[in-house]
Amino acid sequence: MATRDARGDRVAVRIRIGWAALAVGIAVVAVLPFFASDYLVGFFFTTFLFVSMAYGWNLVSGFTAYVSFGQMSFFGIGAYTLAILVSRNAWPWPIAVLAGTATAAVLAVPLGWAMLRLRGPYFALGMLGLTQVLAMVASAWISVTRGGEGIYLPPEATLRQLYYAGAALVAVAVVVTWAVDRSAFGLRLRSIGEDELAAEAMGVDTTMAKLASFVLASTFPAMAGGLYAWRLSYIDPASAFPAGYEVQTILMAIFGGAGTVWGPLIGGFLFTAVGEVLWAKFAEVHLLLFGVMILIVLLFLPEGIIPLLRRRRMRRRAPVGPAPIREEAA
Amino acid sequence: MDARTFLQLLVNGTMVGGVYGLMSLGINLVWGVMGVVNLAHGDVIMAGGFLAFWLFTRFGVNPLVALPIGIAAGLCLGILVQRFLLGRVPPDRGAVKTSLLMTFGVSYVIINGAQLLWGNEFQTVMFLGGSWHVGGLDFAKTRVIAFAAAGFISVSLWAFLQYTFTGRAVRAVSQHPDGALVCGIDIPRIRVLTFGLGSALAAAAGVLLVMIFAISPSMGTGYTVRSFAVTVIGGLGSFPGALAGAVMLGLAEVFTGYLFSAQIANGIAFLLFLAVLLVRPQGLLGMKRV
Amino acid sequence: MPKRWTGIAALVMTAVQLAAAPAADAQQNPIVVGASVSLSGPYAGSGKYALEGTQLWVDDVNKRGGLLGRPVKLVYYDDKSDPNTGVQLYEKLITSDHAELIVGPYSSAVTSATSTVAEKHKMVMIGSEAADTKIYSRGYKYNFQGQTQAGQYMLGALNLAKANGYKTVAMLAEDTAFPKAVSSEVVKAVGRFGLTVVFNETYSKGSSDFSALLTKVKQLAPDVLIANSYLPDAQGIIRQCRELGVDAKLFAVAVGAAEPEFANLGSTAEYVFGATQWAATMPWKGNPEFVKRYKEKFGRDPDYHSASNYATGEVMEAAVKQVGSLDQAKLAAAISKMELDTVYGKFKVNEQGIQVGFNSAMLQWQKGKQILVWPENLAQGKAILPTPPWSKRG
Repeated sequence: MATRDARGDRVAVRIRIGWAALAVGIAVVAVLPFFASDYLVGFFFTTFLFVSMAYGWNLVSGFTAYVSFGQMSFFGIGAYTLAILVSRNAWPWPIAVLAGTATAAVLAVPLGWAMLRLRGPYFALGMLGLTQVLAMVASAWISVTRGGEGIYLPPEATLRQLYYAGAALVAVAVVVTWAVDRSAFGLRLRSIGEDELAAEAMGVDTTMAKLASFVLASTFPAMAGGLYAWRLSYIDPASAFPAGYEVQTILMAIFGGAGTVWGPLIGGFLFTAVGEVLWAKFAEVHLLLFGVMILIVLLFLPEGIIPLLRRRRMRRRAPVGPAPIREEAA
Repeated sequence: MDARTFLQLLVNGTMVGGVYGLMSLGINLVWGVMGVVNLAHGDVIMAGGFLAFWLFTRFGVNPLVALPIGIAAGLCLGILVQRFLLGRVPPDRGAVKTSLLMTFGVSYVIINGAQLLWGNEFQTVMFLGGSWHVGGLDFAKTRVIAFAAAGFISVSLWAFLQYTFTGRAVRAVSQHPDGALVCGIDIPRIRVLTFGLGSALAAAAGVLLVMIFAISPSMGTGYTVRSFAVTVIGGLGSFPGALAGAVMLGLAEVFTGYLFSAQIANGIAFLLFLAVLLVRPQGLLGMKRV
Repeated sequence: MPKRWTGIAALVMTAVQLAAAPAADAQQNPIVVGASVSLSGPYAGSGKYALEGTQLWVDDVNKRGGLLGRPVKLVYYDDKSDPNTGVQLYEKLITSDHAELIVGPYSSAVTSATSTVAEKHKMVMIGSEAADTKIYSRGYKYNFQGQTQAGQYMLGALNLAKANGYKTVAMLAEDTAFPKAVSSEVVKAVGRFGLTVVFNETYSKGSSDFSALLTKVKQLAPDVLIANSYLPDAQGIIRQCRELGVDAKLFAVAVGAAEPEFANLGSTAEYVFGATQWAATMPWKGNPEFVKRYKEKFGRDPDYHSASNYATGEVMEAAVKQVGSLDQAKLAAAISKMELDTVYGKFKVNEQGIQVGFNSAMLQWQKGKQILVWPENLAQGKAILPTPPWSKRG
């Protein structure tokens, strides 16, 4: 990666700074609940959920360019599985969260098989519709989900436990993404994102690769959904399939840089911080400003922050390098 | 189910289907020409409805008079969005993805802007209540009028695309962009026009919709999905297909609502859409595209 | 490089400061009343009314010299109509802002989640905007219902149906907590009124075409049609009844007919009955003054959300005065036994904390106006029954 030339030292310093920042970040996250207010801990917990979901979206949409608008489907599956197992069978919540994740992953296999036959806008809207259909199932399948009445859970959740569970979820998401990014599997996914036909011609089993990323990506929102349901101690179709959360998740990944390892993390935290300021300063119009922000980011930072930083660094290193190749869309 | 009930359901479904048809034309046109599904489509429908509602309650403007106003407003909105947002997306391989996300952003802005302007209450325009009784069946007046207006606008659009120079240019870009470019067609201009037209059609559908149903700022997404489903069912770029798909969806909703439950009827659009995609991806009447 | 380090250090410092700030000062003036209100998102409209009701109460209580000799200060945040944000905000209000009294949020959905926070922190919360009784039947000790319970809504319609000798009821309900609760209460109650339910179905939230359901209803020709709905579906159902010629002798809707926007239906709204929890004309204690001051302060008429929130304030005020401290356990004990006349009627809860004091009234649209027709002690006019068939109406 880093070439050992005159600039090698600087690169090494940079990497060391990166590790140091990460270590400080982990330390802060680890001790935060011991001196922070409940509000701040709760705020970080919510941010963790979004960041991990952004990682999920990144795995399926960042790498392969199959834009999914339906990650909330798995969020809802995770939330409902937890709610049903805890309220009916009195399962301990951590096991129920894992069971929800497993349920989502198992369901993601046939769903992914069907949905991934679609491409481009078909896939995007198919996933959007999938969330709507699952919300409909949740309200119509009354014997299991109690329909629109919702399910109440025992009020036993403690914020600190949830906080660490959320932090662990983010850590897992980062490690998985990092591993995928460096693996042959990640390369296959990227090749699908670049040009699916060419990848297929090169002998990549695109169907398997896409399905694997779809299933892997479903586990993060499912786990987040389970934690969310446990924290709320109440779940109904509207809160299990929240349309607004989808937007936020996608934006975080894009803001940071889709298809990168650190994008969702950095994008997620920056985005939440900006969102919080907007909300605090302009409560009544903050959602509108949020929408405007989406447009601004897409206009001026379509590839996100991480690629931007990387490009700047490259430019510094090689001032007369070739411009990034951009193909005309067919 | 007796024959009369059956016929009554048939009438109700067909009438609603007509409006669905108009809804889907805009999304169909934009998708065909630009390769982008406008995710803000349903929200423009909603905004058109609110415009008509506002004109009606504030100034007593008849919704049929509001129709051209809505069309003009939709046209302007579409032109602005294409000119200042979508048109600025660099045409690289991420373009489709970025455009898709951008329409998502526009949708978000419209929803929240509408909430600020009109609140989040559902609103409706009470214009011509009641129905005509013909042959023992009830034809709701508003539905008949909306159906007729939707039909008229659809035929006008078809004539425009078929017989005018600009309309033909739009079709040319949709069928073969490179060929169109070689023929000297100003593609960016055609794209601006197409997006404007798409929004105008959506706004028109909204004006008609508010005569029949109550609308609220947050209901746009449901109509985006319905419009999209109709386009997929009928086939991209096919006029008769769009109409057939729309009527089919209208009928499917009414009959599942009657025979099974209202909840299932609400999700039938997606189920039909998925079934068609998996069995016949080009749509019922669509042409196979490369 | 050094620049960047200072940046990171500054960030960490801010985080630490943010985290460690509060403590101390808790016992100093004034008393903080904390509320999470919906100022953006789907409930923004009604949420504003609810907030203004609380604001007016805070003004009034300060005019009366505050509570326990201390002034009262309202601290509120916008919960975006989102339950998760609501949960975070009550944690903030209780732990960072040191709220000593809290007011419930808007809607059953948000209250379902935030009631747990209040219970965990042992803070009294009166759910002035949550009609769903299930929230309170979970054995919670600090949560009380400050809104008329779902079972009340259709009593007026059932009474009127019995008085006129009607026999059959068809019922439609939105598939969410509150409308379904109203439906199941009606099913439980019809026997007492000599009625039978011949049709009872639900539809999804956000539905707009009811023609399929109403076609089924038409074949059953019921005497009474009850729609347990909100405003948009109430409008849609009544309007499509007219379009499809669905006749009943009595049309009643749970929520919707009491809202002024129902007038959008024009002549189609005539004869329709609607449940209402509160009206400016009701003779409850302090109600006329409340309406007058509200208009002065906010320049518009209050709606029932404003009134129920004001009533919640009155209940908290009375409880604090009775107990003489802000000890939450004692306040909860006082509220559970309290009978208090408020602007919203008589406040009284049962042993679970479910509201049994507030009653629902019935109004009917007559010549473009909402006329209270039930119960008799509140009635402004007589109910017009039976509703003439649509074919006989212009």
